[in-house]
Parts: sequence; structure tokens; C-alpha cells
Amino acid sequence: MTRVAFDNTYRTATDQLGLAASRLQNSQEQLGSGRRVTKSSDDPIAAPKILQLSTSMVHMDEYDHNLNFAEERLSKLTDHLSRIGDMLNNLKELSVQGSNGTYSAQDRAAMRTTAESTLDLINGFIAAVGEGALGVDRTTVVSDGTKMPISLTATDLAALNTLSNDLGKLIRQNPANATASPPSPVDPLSTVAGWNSLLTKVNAEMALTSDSGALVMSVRYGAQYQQVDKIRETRGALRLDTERIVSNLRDADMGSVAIALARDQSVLQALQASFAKIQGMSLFSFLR
Amino acid sequence: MAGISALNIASTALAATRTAMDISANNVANASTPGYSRQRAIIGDLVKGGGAGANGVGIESIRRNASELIERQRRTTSTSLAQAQSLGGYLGSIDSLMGAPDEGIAKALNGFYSSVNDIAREPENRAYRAGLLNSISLVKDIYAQLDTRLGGLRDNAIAERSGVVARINQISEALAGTNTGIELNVGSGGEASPTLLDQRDNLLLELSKLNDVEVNIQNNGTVNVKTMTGANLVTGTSASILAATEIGSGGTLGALDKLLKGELATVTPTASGRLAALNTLTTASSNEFFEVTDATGQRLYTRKLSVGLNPLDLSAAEHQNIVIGSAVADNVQQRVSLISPEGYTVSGAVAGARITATARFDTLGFSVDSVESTDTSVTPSVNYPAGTVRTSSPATTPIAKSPSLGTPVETVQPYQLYVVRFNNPRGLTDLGNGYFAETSNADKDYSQSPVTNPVTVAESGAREAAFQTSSTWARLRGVYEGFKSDVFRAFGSTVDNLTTADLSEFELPGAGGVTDYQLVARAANGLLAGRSRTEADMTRITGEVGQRKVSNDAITKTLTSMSTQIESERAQVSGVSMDEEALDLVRLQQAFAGAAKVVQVANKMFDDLMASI
Repeated sequence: MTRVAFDNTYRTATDQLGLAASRLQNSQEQLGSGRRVTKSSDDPIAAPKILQLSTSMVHMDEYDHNLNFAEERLSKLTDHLSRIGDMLNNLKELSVQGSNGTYSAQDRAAMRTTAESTLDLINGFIAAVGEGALGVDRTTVVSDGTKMPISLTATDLAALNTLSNDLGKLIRQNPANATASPPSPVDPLSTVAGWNSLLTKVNAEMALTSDSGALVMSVRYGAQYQQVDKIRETRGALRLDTERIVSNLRDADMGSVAIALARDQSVLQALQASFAKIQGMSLFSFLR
Repeated sequence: MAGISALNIASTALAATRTAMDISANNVANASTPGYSRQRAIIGDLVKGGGAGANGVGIESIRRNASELIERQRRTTSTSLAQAQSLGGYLGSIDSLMGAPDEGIAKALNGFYSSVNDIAREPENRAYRAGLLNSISLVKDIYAQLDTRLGGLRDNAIAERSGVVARINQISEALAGTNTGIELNVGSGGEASPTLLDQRDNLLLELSKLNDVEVNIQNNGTVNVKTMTGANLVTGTSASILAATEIGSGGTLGALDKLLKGELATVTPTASGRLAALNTLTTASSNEFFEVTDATGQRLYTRKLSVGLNPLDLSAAEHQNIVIGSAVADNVQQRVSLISPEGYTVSGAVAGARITATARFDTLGFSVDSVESTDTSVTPSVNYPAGTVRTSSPATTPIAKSPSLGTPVETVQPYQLYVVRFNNPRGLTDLGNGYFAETSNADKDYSQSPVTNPVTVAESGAREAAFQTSSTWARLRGVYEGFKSDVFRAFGSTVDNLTTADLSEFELPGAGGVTDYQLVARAANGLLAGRSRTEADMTRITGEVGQRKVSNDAITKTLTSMSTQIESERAQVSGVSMDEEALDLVRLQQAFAGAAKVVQVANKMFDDLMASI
């Protein structure tokens, strides 16, 4: 026969009431914070995963910043390169006319002025695309393992500067030429041959077979620019997925927690009520 | 005479019953007294020596309901439970300090790396430099808070430990006193008082909660107690003082010792290994040298670690003789200033030109990433000291100015990196600022030169060393030390002293803005290279902190359940049942009434007898 000691009832009641109150507090905490994991011990399996995924979301934020920066830079680059292409096209049309022997010297002088203006514009755009290049091949990481250029490469910039120099020699008047030995024309575009040289240079620059050509360059950076949306789209899906997983791991299911809270509350009330009844039961009560 | 005998017998019954009722009343009164054992009066008939016939009733003894087996189980379980509960308290505090897994220091470190990413992407944007400093400051502050709070926990544990040792000594004294009482009881021919035995058991239980002890109960009821490590606490009626340095083997003391030697331990800056080296390097003002040896331990050459990029104002003659160079542990790139070094020489007359070299030391060996000169008329080249083992043969490797990033231009292997400290062993002229000069143009291959008092051999990584301690605190410190040294290596200044001016030092006058930004970006990229390790460390710490707490909680829960069960068993044996006591009182009341009736009848008989006279 089991002897039921007086304080056993109280100890059992105290333990059970403590447990119930602790469960209730836990439910309340989850409901209040909206989080299932507020410290590592809440779920030590999920906690490192949450940190890992949260960190990878931070990476994604950084990639987004990098991507936005790259997009802005590439947008400018492709725009300016495209404008250089347009200018080269203008020069080509001008050169075709200039190399036509039917034009008078006066006409060619007028066309040279136009060519010079076009060259100024080209130089302006070259200066603009060179901004922020810092003399190095600048790239930025836009996703795990993927880099994107944020400036012209040093090689490309050098090629454009060479283009500018070469066009300058072919277009601009140079008094020093008169004293050169053998003497060459002070105004290279005063002759049909001069315009032919310019046409050859412009054609070479616009050829799709030359990697260093302005046109190919424009296409190359344009292609990188086109990648931005794809990367952003892919990351958007990845981010949503990551956020969903983190939320599943970290956040409390409010419905379940609310139900658990109601259940824990009922258990606590039942324990309190049953204890109130039991604690009055003793043979002494009947001996009065 | 019959009537008188009956009166005598009845009076013994009245006295015995009254005593039994007192005991029952005492049981009821102590029903809720912790550790109280129900007492019962053993009533027996009184027998006169050699005679036969009725002599009445008396209390033979007062005994308690107790089971030695259950008491022993209580003590064992209490030891384990107290240890788990004590650990649980501290582990819970550490768990709370660390907070949510994606908050706190992990978040601050993420912020830091985001700032570094900004600088790596846009080194020309000065606004990001302030952002970087803020993020470094935040990591520093949060770590300082954690460090202080963890230090506070350690101080609490130390204070609690002192209290526990003092209490153990008090209990030992009390037990010795109890033993004295029991001996007196038994020595006077009686039995040990149930109250003393209860007191003894309660003291033993409390002692068991404080430390794991071995209890030997003697036949007379006294106890001898010693710790599981063999230190005597109680021997008979004398108590010994537990030394404050005695290591606890269980219970609260065991838990505190475990915490103080494990979880709340930290790697001190004077510890050996890489951590010590890093601490030394990041705090020392000078005199720190790197020594490079080959795989057999043959010393190849020593090089002074250059701190920062402060130019030196030295004469051309001095430039010829400066012993200076660079070496870097791990994969983190380091900026080093070299001025006409003998180890790395600049071709041509370039005394006074400042050379910026980046190098790294990794599992592949020693790699020179680039050597750049502030003197644009000079193409730097690298001359390796005699004895250097290299993967390529030329003694002089020309290096283009401002080479592109990423590809090491020279790799030397296989070396091991040792950090040694010596105090100007060759009597070099101290030029101040940590630089030394020699008075001759002797070969700077120190492979055969003695190095006095090498103090540290550093091979393992600081973080790995810290992680070997399995202490959250040490691991956190490992991460923080790694963070500090990474920042130091990248920017040439400690996290405490780093300013935007330090970051602007990259913009060297005369070198051209282009290369300066390249250096800033390179430093930032060097930091980002170490990022995955920091993140992995934090993930590891986060998982372990929670896991330890949960494991300990599970143990605590099991032990609590066992303890409840044992307490319940004890209550069944030793506890006071009100119903039982009520029934006993009814029974004793009736016995008392019966005895009183006997007195009444005997009295009546006596009166009748007297009346008949």
C-alpha cells in the first residue's frame, strides 16, 4: 500500500503549476515577439541555419548594391560608347563625301570643321567613359562567383585614347607638319587622300572583327548590361525563397501559438482548481 | 494489592499514550518541514526483572521512518541535479547574452563586411570610409559589451564558488557537531535521536548538492565524509577545512569549476600559439620580427614586420643597410613599406624611394603579390637572400610597376612561418620607430645567425586555438582577435586607433591617385577574403551555445524527474500522512480513555473498599 504523505500533494502541485506557468510564459513570449527562436537554445538546430541564411541575405543586399552600381555604370558606359559609335558613323558618312573628288577645297574645309566638332564630341565621350576607371580593371561581385565590370578596362580605355589620338592626327590641322621632313599637309583633310585615310580608320574602328573597336566594345559592355536584369530576377526568386525558409525557421506560427496559449491557460486553470479541491481533503476535516 | 497495581499500570498507559500523542502532534506540526522524517513511538509492556505478571506499558524508543537506500539515492541524484541546474543557470545567461542568432555581434560583423564591400566596390567614395569606421566601432562596442558581461558571469561564478566552499566548510563543522550528539546519545546506552539523524541526513543532502562526496555511515550512526578527490571533510567529531583551491568533482562546486575552466575561460593574451603572436603583433610598437624557415627548420632569414605606412627619413647610407622586409600569415594580404631593403632591393639608385609590397604567406608558401615603387622612374625588382628556396630560378625577378591584381608574381615554398621575438640581437643601430640599421653591407642572410630567446612558435591559427578550448567566451574572443588582426593587416592600424586619416594614407603623394585607390580596394578585398571564416565561426558558436543549453536542459529535466520520483518514494516512507496521524490520534485517544477508565474503576473500587471499612 502506498502511503500518501501530506506534502507530496503540495510538491506535485507546485511542480506541475511551475511547468504549466513556464509553458504559458513561453507561448506568451512567442506570441509577443512573433518569433519562435529568440535565442539559440530555442532551437539549436535551426539557430545556426537562421544565422547562415540571414548572412546570405546580407550578401544578397550587398550584391544588390553592387549590381545597382554596376547597372548605373554600365548604363552610362554603353550609352557613351553607343554615342561614340554614332559619332564614328557620322565621321564615316562625312569621310565618304570627303573622299569624293567632286567637292571643292572650300567644301572639304567646311567638312573638316564638322569632322573636328565630331572629334570633340568623341573626345568628350571618351573622357566620360574613362571617369571612375582609376586605371585598373574595376569589377564588383554581383552574385556568388560572378563579377561585373564597373568601368572600362585599362585596355579598352587605352584603345579609346589611341583612337582619339589617331583621329586627331587624321582630322586636326597641325602647323608642325609643314616643317617636317619630308613635309606633310598642315590640313590632312584638305586632300581626297586625307579623307580616304580617315574613312579607312573609321571603317576599321567600326569593324565587328576588331575586339578593340569602339563598336565591338559597345556591344561587349551592352551585353554585360543586359545581364543585370537576369541576375536581378534570379536573385529575386532566391531571396524570396531564402526569406521564406528563414521565416519558417525563425518566426512563430501565430495560429498554433495562439492555440497553444489557450491550451496552456486551460491546463493551468485546471491545475489550480484541482489543487484547491484536493488540498482541503483530510481526515481531520471529518473529525470536527 | 490489585487496585494499586491497576492504578500503576493505568498511569503508565496514560503516560505512554500521552508521549505517543505528543509524537503524533509533532508529526502533524512538522508535516511540511523539509527533510523531516515521521517519528513513531515504539510502545512495549514493562517487564520487571525476573518477575512475571502485568507491569504496565512504556515507550521503548522513538524511531523515525527512514530508508538509508533512499537517502543515498537522494544524495547521488541531488549532486547531479545541482550540477546541471548550476550549469543551466550560467548557460542560460550566455544563451541570452548571445541573443537571437541573427542579431548582436553576428549582425554587427555582417554590417562591417557590408561596409568593406562598399569600399571594395567604390574605393574613391570617401563617405564609405566613415561608414567603415562606424561599423568597426559597432563590432568593437558589441564585443566589449559581451566581453564585459561574460567577464561579469565569470566574476559571479568566482564569487559563488567562494560562497560554496565556505558553506561546505560550515556544513562539515555542523556534521561534526551532529556526530558528537549522536555519539553522546549512543554512548549513554540509548539510540541516536531521530532529530539528530534527520539533521545529519539534511546536512549530507545539502553537502551533496554542493559537491560530490563519499559518505560512510558508521554503525553508531555517525558519518565520515570526504570529497571524491580524497580530501577529508568530516572524520568522526572533527571537521577539516576544504581548501579554496580544491577542485569540485560534482554538484554546484563541480559545475562552477567546469564553467570557470571551460565555458567561462578565455584565452589570455599571454597564451602561447598564434593568438599570442597576433596579440603581440597588434600591440607591440616594434622589435617584432618574422622569421622564415624551410621545412626542416633551417632559418632562412628574418624580417621585421613593418607597421603602417609611415615613411622613414633615413640617409642614403642607412637605406643600404636597413634590415626590413615583409611576411604575412594566413591568406590575408598585407601592405608593407620597404625602403631600399636588402631582402627586397630596388634596382638602380633609388635610395629614398618608397616601395609598397603586398605579400602573403599561405599553405603554398610565401608569395609576393606585387612590389610598387613611389619612384616612377624605377622598376622595382625582388632580390631574395641567399638560401631562399624558390619555385623559379632567377635570383632577381623584375616586377612591373602596378601589376594587375590577383596573380602572385612570385611564389616561394615550402616555408613554415614562425614568429620570434628578439631584442636587437646583432647589435643593430636602433633607428627608432622599430627600424634598425647595420654598419656594414654584409649579407643579410641570417640563416646561420643565432637568434636569442625565441619566445613563440606559432603554427596554428588563433581561431582554431581558441576553438580548441570549447569555451564560448574564448571562441568569441578568437573571432574578435581575428577581426582585429584582419583590420590591422588591411589598414595598418589597430581597431582602436583607426581613423579616416589612416585610410587616406593609401593616397600616397606622388604615386598617382590611380594606384592609391587600387590599394584601398585591395585592402578591402583582403578583408572580404577572410569573411567566410568569420561567418563560419559565428555559425559554429551560435549552434553550440544553443546546443549546450538544450543538452543541459534535457539532463536537468531527466534528473528533476528522477529527483521527484525519489522524493516521492521518500515521502512514502518518511513523510507525514495526515490521515494516518488522525487515525493514530483516534487510536491513542481511545487508549487514553481506556486507561483513564481503568483509573476511574480502580479509584471506585478503592472508594468502595474504603467505604466498607
